[in-house]
Amino acid sequence: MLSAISRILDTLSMEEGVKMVVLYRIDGVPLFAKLNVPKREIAPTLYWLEGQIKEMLYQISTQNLDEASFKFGRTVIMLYPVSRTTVLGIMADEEASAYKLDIDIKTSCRQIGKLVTS
Amino acid sequence: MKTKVVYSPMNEFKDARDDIERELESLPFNPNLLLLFLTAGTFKDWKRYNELFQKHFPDVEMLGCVIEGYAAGDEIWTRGIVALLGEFDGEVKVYFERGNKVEEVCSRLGARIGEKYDSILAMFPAIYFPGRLDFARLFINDKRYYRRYKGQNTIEGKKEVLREFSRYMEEHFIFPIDKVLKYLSESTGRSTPILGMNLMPMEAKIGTPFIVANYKEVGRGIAAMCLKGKVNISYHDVYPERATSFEETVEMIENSFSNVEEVEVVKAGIAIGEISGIPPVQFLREKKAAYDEMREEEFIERVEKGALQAVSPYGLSFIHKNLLSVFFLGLLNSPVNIYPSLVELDEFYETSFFMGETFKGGTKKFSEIAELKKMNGFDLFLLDFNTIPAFRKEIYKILDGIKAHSERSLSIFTTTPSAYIPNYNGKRLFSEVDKNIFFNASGANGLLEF
Repeated sequence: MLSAISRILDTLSMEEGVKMVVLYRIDGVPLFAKLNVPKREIAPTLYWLEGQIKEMLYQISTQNLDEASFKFGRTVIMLYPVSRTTVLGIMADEEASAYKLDIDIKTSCRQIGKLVTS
Repeated sequence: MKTKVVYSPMNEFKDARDDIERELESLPFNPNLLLLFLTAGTFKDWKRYNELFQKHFPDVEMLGCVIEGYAAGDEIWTRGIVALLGEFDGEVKVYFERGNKVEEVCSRLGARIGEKYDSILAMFPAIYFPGRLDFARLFINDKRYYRRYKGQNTIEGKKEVLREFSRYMEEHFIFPIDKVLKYLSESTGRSTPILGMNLMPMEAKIGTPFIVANYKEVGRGIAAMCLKGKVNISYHDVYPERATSFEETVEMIENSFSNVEEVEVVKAGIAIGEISGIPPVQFLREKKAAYDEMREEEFIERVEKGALQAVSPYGLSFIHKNLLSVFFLGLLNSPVNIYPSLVELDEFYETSFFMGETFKGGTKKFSEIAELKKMNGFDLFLLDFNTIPAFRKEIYKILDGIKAHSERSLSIFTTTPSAYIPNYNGKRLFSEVDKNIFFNASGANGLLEF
């Protein structure tokens, strides 16, 4: 299962404009992370995200949100619930083709969802 | 037909090749037909994919192009590659002809195809995006023709300039979709249904749309997969059945779209000179302040980067004088004065309607195409790519609706398809742009059943 999830995240992280893909546990613990850019390039955003992520994940879980997203400079961060206990986070450049990315993320969420709930 | 859909969501060639080769190991039949679809992420490696499939299937009849996305099994992807391999119980043959003059290309192609086939799947570039130099020439010619246009004192004088500009556009950039289907159907005996993939990428890039036929690049031309045997073509649009008077049609447009505004258009051939007295793109910018002026250099740079949005939620609705059908043309923010159309506009009223795109009925309307199924074999659905920006991840609902009627299928998200269906006797479609010829810039889907 772990290698299958890793492969799905690999596929998504290689999408043009995607900087990072992370699978979070609902309490904020990152389970998998795939970076597509040098760590120093996204370090300030990561630092900021660390302070926010638990609250965001809590909101997604308690408010039953389909997705949550916010923009940070030229970077967009999107959070999609995968299962009752996991959330997929994607950090992408604002120029990434948002509507196409949205579809590929949905497909990845469904695939991971099947793996973590089976 | 025995079929196998082979796909990989990977954009890297090596990864995708490994996925594909793994799938091909267990192919339980000997295919005679291959439809190969690349996405924006794999298009750059088309030669390597060509070699890969040619190595495995040197003798199949193949046709391929670039698409926006695909639904295979339970998954929808806008990346990677998908191929349909089939052992068709009949005769299948791919023909193609290159050239710039639509009538000439269709006649040559039709003469080779003949009248013996039951269905044709045709691929051609509705708009071809050539190199920087051709665009520079286009912008110079646009200014030249527009100066002449403005200098005319009569509407007929203006229309004559637009007709000349239309000829220039047809010879260099546009294959008018209605003309392709008209000429191709005439040269193949008028009794063979044609499903058209009139390609125009959602994010335009130099060298696109891209078509490959029997492992050869077609460039500007038309390729056709001709099938003799059990096949069926259906066409469907998401709009209400068309009305019987101009006034009722106007009412239907007002009910179907948002912010509808009546305008007077000066047009001829495939060219539009003005909307309510000003150039079409300027009209768009005045109505929608979000659009800034786009410079020529910026336009070319975007095309070179593959970042030019070739879809727009705003456009014009034209009403056909005889059929009372409605053709929608998206208006793109671009550095041109005279605006080109994808079909000939001479048979449409000058009074038309500026409007915003909405799809009443949502995703459900798009899966209704599956209800037109007549056979129980394999289904190739050609779905309007405007559903991607309109519904985003909700397009899964379209797939769910299709799966309720179709057990074995491949759905392709591509430019809204077109069709020629002789003796058509179905719903009176909004999208019948000429007798038995169907197309719209959005809201229509096609189905090819094997």
